[in-house]
Amino acid sequence: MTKGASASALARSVRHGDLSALECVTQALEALATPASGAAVTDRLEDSARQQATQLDTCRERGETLGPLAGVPFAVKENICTLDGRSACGSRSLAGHRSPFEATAVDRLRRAGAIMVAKTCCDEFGMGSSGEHCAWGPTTNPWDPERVPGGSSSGSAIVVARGAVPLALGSDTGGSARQPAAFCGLVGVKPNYGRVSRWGLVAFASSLDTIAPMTRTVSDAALALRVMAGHDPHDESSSSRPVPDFESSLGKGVSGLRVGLIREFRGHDSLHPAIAVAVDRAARDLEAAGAELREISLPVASYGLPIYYLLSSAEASSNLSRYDGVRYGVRSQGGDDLLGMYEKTRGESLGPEVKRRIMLGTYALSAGYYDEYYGRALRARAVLRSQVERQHRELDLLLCPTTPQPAFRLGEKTREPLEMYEGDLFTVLASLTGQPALTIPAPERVGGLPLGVQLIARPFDEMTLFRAARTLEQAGFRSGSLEPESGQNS
Amino acid sequence: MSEFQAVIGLEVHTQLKTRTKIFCRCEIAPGGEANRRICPVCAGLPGALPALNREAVRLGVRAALALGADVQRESAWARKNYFYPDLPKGYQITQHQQPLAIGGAVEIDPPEASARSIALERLHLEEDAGKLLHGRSAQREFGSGLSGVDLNRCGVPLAEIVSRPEIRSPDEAVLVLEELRSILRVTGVSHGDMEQGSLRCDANVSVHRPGEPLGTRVEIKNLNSFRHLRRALAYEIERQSALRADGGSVAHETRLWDEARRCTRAMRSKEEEHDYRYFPEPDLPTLRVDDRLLAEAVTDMPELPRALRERLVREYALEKADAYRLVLNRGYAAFFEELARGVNHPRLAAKWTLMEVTRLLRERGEKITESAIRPGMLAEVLRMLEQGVISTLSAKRVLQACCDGASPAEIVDRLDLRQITDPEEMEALCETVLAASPEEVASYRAGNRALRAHFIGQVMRQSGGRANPVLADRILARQLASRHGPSDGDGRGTP
Ligand SMILES: [Zn+2]
Repeated sequence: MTKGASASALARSVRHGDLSALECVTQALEALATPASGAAVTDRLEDSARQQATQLDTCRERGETLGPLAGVPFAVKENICTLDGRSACGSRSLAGHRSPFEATAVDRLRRAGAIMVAKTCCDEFGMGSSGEHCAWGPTTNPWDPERVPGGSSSGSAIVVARGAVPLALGSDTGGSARQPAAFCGLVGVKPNYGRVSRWGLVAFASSLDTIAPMTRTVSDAALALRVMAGHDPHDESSSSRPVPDFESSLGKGVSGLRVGLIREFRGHDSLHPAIAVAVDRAARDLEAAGAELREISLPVASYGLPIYYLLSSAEASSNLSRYDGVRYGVRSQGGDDLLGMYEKTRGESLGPEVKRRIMLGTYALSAGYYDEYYGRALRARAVLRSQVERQHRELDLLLCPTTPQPAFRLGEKTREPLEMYEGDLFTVLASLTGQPALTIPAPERVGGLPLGVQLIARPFDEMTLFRAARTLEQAGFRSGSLEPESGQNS
Repeated sequence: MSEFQAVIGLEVHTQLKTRTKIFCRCEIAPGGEANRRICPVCAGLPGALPALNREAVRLGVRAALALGADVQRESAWARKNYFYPDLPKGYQITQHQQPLAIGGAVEIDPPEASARSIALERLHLEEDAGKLLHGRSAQREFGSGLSGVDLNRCGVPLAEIVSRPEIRSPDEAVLVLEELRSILRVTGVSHGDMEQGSLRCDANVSVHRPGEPLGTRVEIKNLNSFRHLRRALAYEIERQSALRADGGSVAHETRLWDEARRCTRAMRSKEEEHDYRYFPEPDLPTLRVDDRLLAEAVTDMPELPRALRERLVREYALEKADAYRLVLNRGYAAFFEELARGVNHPRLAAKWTLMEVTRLLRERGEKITESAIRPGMLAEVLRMLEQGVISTLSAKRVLQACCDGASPAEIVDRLDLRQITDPEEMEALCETVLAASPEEVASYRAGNRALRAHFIGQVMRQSGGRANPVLADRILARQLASRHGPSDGDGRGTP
């Protein structure tokens, strides 16, 4: 009954007393217990979720005012710290890790009445674009079990796509929420950097990391973001800009907005023709709704990948130093001395993709190479930012694909890390500039697979992003329903 | 004297006197059980982020202003990466390319040498690391023979102050560190206590022949007291000079001072130095010092040591050496100033503060700010001394006695220490002394004038220290000069 319902609809029913929070949560927990969703879940929070739901129902019976997300079950990527459940980040080095504190974003959702029902799997520490770099094994795309769900927010994408929950939190550093959202047919929002507190988000690349809502509808994403956003004294990079009421302006349309179609992305060699068609259709639909369309050239955007991989790996090499087996997590036995213990612990508990990034990042920061790699990437990032800023003097939005290709086959790119990295070409742009970006599923699928179209807005202008996305959604940009689960293996 | 000239630079870490840590709200307190004052931030848990303690910045700015450094309106945080169990995040948050303050100087003005100004390179803020526990302390804290880590000290705010290599001798290095400590203390920036670790010092030293380029620099760590600093530098200068004199060369390395063996030992060579892979700390925005923070930092800025020294010399006509010693410990200077208001001879008051008060405090194991010896009390004693009511000897006894609570006047009465100033009583006393020493009297009269001091000493002893030595001397002189013996005094000489 609640399966597939939107968060706002569920919350409305719960507030009106048409549906109890306990029913909502129970159905979500059941859906998450099926084999296909179960693989995406690292911790099902049966007890705490039921308890919180019961409490919420009691509050409602007493006539207390309930929050905007009352009774809405949601899932959280396991690289986000929560008091309930494990926060192991898809890494053997943190197997079983429980956090003594909760991420601000999760705390705010809970205060708004949402109930966390599961932690979900991810590529180790958020590094990966396929879900195959999770220490607990790979997961599969709900639309095609032969294919990857995308990553690193793989588990969150799967449980929302399967309709088990209307909302899941992912994290997006270079596309980690947008790309799996595109692969699984969801709306995925990378908020402006600093819009949502990073307190409790386990750091991968601190200057790029964001917490990202993944939903099936635009209004659910807007609602969740509004609840989570805003300054947090725990995170000095969080912005104190006021948070607009995104939902109330959703219906304002796009009339008069100026949209730039990035020529280099639209015409990229690697772009699947069906995705090109989807982007063109989005352009036409926005135009039809009153937006003014322009084709723009942004040659510097093609440098996004090397800039992103240098900077994010450099920061990762530092952020991941703490997983040394000294204070928490896993420590390997048998190291002869301190160095031996470090080498053995890190050698055994970190996965190959994480090690690759640590080595790459360490190299980029090393004496003698800093200027050539890290320093240069920093300067290039500044150039990129100013060029995009220049485009925004005239443009409210940028339009481009989310990914070059739909979901690829399991194992297809694990042996070619560079090929895997190339899939991030269109998403790293907004990560590097910090501005907000959103992916929305195209009306058509190719070979049964969803396709994503990406919108990028001015700094902190998520509002315009949502308005345009809503316009597209009304024009048919939504993924259809999944086949019943029985037809799939797991 | 060696043909080599030493060139020394200091790197001083001082703990800022904040209530809580620099990037979290954990309280700072010395001692206590291991790992009790920690939280997700300072223990480096996954998902935790630093949030800057503004008070640490205020104290850093205050120190910089007191040192005449150029406070940067914008400075930046950086990560210094290395692996060690006492470093929970695997990196230290510090300032690297853009420190909080640049320049400044420590001015030393030793009584026995001319004044010098030692330029400072920079002052920056950073977080402290934890502490490894081995052996018995590990056993006590963790109940096992394994080594352990205590993270209580992680995140304690530090200011690192780096001097230019402009110091020329171990003595001068000690003076610089003393002056720096004195500035940090008086401004309330730091406890500046080397034993407690709130002031730590590393040094770099090289030797060269005057006129030749600077020699290879060696860094010395583990200089935990002024004595270690002096000894380690002296040893190292000697070692390097000997090496060079023999035609050898000095290796670029870090050495550790070994107090037990009184030598420096090689710790790591330049090749083994860490590559710290500094890069901008993405978790913290640019550190901006605005007008308000600057204003707060200079609030109630006390008189700095140099200014105070100069004023003491000017206002109280103190000797430079006494002023220097008083200012080394601000409690002494304050004590002296209060004392000086109640006496006629400030120079005498300064000597008493430095000699007698210091001695008594040492005996009693007290600090001057918390001692039972109060300036008012000493002023009363000194007034009685100035007025001739008591002798210097008695004054010392009175001061000692009134530490236990009685007023100086009471003690003078109780111990009958009032000076003998009555000429008749003094005449009689002198007569007795001369009568008891006929041989010495004869010898004196035969020309052995040195015996005069002996007679005065006898008079003092006889009187239990109460005789006024000036009066005694005058009467003794007359009695000894008198042909008819010591009986015909005239009573002059009453003070
Ligand atoms: Zn703390």
